[in-house]
Amino acid sequence: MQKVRFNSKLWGMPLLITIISLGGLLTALAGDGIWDILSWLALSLPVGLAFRGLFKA
Amino acid sequence: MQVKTAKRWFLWHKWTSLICTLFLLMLCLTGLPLIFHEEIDGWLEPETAATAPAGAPRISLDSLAVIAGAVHPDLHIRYVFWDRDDPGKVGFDLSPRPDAPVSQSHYVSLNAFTGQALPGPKTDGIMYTILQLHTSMFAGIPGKLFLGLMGILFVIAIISGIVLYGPIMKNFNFGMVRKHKSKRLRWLDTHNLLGIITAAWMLVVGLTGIINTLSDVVLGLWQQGQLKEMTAPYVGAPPAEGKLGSLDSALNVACRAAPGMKPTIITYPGTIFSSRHHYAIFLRGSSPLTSRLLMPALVDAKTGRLTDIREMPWYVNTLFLSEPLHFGDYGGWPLKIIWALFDLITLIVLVTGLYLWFARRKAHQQQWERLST
Repeated sequence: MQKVRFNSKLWGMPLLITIISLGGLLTALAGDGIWDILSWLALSLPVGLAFRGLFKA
Repeated sequence: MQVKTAKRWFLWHKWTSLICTLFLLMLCLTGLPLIFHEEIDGWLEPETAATAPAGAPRISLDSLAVIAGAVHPDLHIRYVFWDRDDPGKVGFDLSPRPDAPVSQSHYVSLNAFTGQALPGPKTDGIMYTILQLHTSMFAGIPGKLFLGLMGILFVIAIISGIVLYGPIMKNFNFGMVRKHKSKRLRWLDTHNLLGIITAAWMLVVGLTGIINTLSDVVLGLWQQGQLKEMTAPYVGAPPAEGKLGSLDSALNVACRAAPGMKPTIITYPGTIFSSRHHYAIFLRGSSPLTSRLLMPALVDAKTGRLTDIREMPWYVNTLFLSEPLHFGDYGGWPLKIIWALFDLITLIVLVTGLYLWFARRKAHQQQWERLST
């Protein structure tokens, strides 16, 4: 049987983006002010990457 | 992953997507203006803020209720509610019967300092139409549940899409888009890249959307569960009729029992949110999180005594917390912009997915034609 190993080259970036996205979605719920700003910064990452990918295409 | 396994995931991805794509396109297109509904509402119908003359005291709720009642003498007040952003504004919902459908509601919005009528919520505007389309496609509860089913397919499509990302991308770097090979490869890579980047957001908005479609189910569970328990001592008692007790003293009693909380709505006896004997006063906290969670306080509508106050059960709180996570209205205007951009990216993922299906079909057909000639 093949050993299941985490392929970080393949899944590293998607995992990082997912964690940062979920963090961003939750922080704005936790409070106002600094929490909102953290949320905007975190969620700008996936949005920015998506648009970069789009314009590269 | 074995080719056979990948193929099975691909079939799941293909069919769940194909079935829900048309509805998801509609949801994304109608959802886009709904993200900004407050701004658009204010722009279509400039709202008058309830300004208070210097030093003016608030008018009692009971007096405001008399003013609201006089606007529609043939109807009865069933809900009193406060504006989230404008505490000087008090809204009244009047209808022929306490348990009449929402469509029979008439709204009166009053300035709590002067008693003057303000433009109230509208139910015939373009935004209302878009909202109906988005939540139920004008088909009531069945329409809502159907969209919930489409949401489940959407979530399966996302999960199978994530699984397929592995075998497709295992020999490439993250962010790879094959620009000059062929149109199909270019859009395939774009579909995969945008899909994996926005998967977390799409899953959250998809799942919370599904939960929102269950709102009527949740209401029914609450009525049959907690509300029934809270009103158990009143089973068999004659309904509260005739002149009811003071709204102000009911509100005071409730607020004293929950220090630091603010009222959002008072529901009258006989409505779907109360018993036939109580004013139900729903209180909320003040942080972004606790302001979404409500606490019902039941006040005997005749005697004005508080009979019970409780926190809501987990399934109601789950519904309440799903709302902001679906609407994106909990982190100021920058979060709304981010929501809109995610919505646009989702649209691109849907459209490229559809295109890829067409392109594959065409390629298959040509292959067959070549074989048979």
